[in-house]
Amino acid sequence: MEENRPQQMLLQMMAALNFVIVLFLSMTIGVTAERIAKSGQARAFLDKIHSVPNLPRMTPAIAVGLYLLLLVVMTLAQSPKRSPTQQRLYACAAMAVLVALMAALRMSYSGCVLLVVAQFLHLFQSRQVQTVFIGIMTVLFLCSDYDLISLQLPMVSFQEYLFYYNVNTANLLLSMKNVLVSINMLLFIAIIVQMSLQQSAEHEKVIRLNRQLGDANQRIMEYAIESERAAETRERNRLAREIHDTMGHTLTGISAGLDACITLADHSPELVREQLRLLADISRRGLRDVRRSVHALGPDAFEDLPPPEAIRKLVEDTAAASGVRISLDSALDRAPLQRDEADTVYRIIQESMTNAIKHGHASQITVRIRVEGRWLVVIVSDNGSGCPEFSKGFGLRHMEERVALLGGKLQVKSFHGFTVVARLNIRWRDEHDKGIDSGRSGADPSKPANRPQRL
Amino acid sequence: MTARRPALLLAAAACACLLLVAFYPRETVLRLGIYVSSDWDAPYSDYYDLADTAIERFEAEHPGVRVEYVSGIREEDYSEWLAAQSLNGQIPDVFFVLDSDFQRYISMGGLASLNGSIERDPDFLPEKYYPAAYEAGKMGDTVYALPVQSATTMIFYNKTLLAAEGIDPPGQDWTWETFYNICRRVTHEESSGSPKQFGCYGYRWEYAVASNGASVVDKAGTECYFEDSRVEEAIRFCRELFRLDGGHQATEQDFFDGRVAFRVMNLTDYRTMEYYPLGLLGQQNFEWGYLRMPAGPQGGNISCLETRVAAVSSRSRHKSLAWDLLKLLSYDPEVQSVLYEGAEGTAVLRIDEWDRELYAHAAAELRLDAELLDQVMDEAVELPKYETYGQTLAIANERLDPVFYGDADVSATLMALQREVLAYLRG
Repeated sequence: MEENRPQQMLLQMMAALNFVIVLFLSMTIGVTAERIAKSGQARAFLDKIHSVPNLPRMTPAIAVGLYLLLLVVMTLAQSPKRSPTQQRLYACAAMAVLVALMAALRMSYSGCVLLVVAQFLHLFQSRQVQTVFIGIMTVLFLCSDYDLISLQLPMVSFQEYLFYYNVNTANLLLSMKNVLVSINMLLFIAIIVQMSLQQSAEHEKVIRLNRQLGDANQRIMEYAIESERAAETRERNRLAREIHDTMGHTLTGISAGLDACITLADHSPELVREQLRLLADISRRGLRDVRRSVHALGPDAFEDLPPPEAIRKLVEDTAAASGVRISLDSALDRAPLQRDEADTVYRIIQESMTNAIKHGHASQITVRIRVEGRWLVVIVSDNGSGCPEFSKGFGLRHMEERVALLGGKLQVKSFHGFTVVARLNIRWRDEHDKGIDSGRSGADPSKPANRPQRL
Repeated sequence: MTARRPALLLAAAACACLLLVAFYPRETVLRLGIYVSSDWDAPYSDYYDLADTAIERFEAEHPGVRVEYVSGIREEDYSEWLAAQSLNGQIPDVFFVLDSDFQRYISMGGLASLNGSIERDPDFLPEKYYPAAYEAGKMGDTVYALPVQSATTMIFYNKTLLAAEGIDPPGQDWTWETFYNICRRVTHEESSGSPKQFGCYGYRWEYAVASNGASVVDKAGTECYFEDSRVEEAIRFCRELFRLDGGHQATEQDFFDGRVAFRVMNLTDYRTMEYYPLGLLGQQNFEWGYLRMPAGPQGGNISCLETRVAAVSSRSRHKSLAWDLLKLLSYDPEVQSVLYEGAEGTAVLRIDEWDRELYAHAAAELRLDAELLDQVMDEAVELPKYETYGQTLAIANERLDPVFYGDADVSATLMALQREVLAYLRG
């Protein structure tokens, strides 16, 4: 509102000037009528005018009163509390008062129309209302030309009252009026210029913001493409790791075993047979691992099932395949997950279980899924050997990336086995939001990190 | 802000109530604009009697309404007074309108049209007025004022003088010719000690034009008809008549001294003389009679009627009451009869509208034949009423003087006059 200050000042100046003009015109009319009546030239004066004078002595009081009323109406209309309908009603009231004022001033002054236009124009947002308003005011402005309607309205104009004076006095009074009217016109023009300047400044600002928004959207799109590529790379890495972990390991074992068989073949066919039986076991296990990997890599592992079911099935299948005891404590029913979120949870559990079985050689795995405030916490712990100095291989790094994508955090600790704790900042639905809000523990809901925004 | 608003509203309402109580009119006041007539040079006015009678009746019929008027305004000050009232926005609800103001106030929209009131009022019949008197309040088809009082012209003659000259008094339907012949016979130059004797006093060319069925200007003052053959005929007649005097015009004193055969007299003048000082005519050493105006060849025994009218202000807030008051002043025989008790003018209602007894009493007051007066009033024509009629007459008189008393040519003068007056009226 700071940039409105010059406009407000001009409006106030215009209001003050109009007060002076109204006072000047009405006082001239009132005083002149009084002087004519006292000077004994009333009948001669009647010869010069075309209508019966209408209460000229009361004119100053009436005109000034109406003008003040007009100011009050306009001030009330400016209040920011007004609704558009109220503003329109106020504008109508102002117009009614304006017409009365103009009639009181014998249609000899139209500058008040400009004042009302200047006061109301910027209030109307709708172009249609503005057009109607300006149309009415134009008609009023034209009508206030005394010559235009003197034939219709029985009133004695300001100019006619000047007939009483000699030419010099009459000219002086008339030019005083004209100067005041001109100043009023200049003020009006200044206000309109100010208004349009401000409007174009606002327009520019909007354009600038629009451009910024466009840029941001562009960046987001680029990021989306980038993150898609990253996901692709990650997926490849995972494939590579999966191959390395299963096929690599198995094949390494088999080739080493076969080398041993070649060496042993000459002098210990018994040992070779034993070794081959072992190798067959290894290759069968490897085949099983490959099957499991292929199964795990399947993009639609739980396509047909709701997330809680899919996870339960995953746990059961893994337990059956590996012979490891796995317990599941899931609060997923309370957390309606989006597809990407469910997928992440699924992958974390799958990866952690695989790690526990493969690296930790655990015999017992516990999977817990809890809701803490706005967070979904997935904990997978085992009783395996753990990994005192683990490095983040493909699996862990991959999990970390996935969790980070959802604005979450991944923690691992190797103490009495291995524990993976993933805190996911999931997108709660609104109805759930409220239920969760009450119990939330200072978590930041607006933690979108790198999540792409909907465009 | 919101807490203060009801308080502010209450304060405003209280102020409004106080103002209303302080200024609320406890009774309706109607204002009447009236002047002390110096009409027709009569020294005082009976308007107050008329107004007082009407007001008394009006206030009795309309309880809670009071009628006010400012007394003591002389006729010559009345126009200015009315204009000042008008400037102050205090123009009376009902006011008498001078002839010179009538058209001005109509063009300013100061007079309310009475057409609506007349149509709505089943009691009001314009036919009850003398036509010329009713016409006086009209402009075009609109009635702006009602007549209150009229005065007509009649000719009074010196019976004693005519008898001495051995001339029979003319009949009521006499003509210009008779008029001229008698005037010629009685006009004597001063000789052998006997005082000079005159044919007529106060006869004006406008009377001749009217009694020849013509008029030199229309009512609104927009057209003039100086080239009308009837006008020319009247002017030629007047030239002959006026030349009988040989340039020595009779005076009023000559008439009182019994040395003038005919005197044109406005009925108001007559009544004034008859009434003040104490029956002037009656004290003279001659007997007198009265006649209608002599008829011109193309006209009749037509008199000129001067009518005083009153109107309702267009700014009046009590137009219906104002109409009632005006109607009482103008249309009520009982109120109108007051005029006959005083000294001025005559009523504006036809004889049929009067109580016969009332009228007979009035006629006795007048010392005139009531039936004859009724006939004269009925046939009379109204004089133009526009603002500058006086100036128009002055222009015409200036031009016509050389015709009556010099050698100026009648047709050429009238042609010039037509152009000049038309230019004046249109200018």
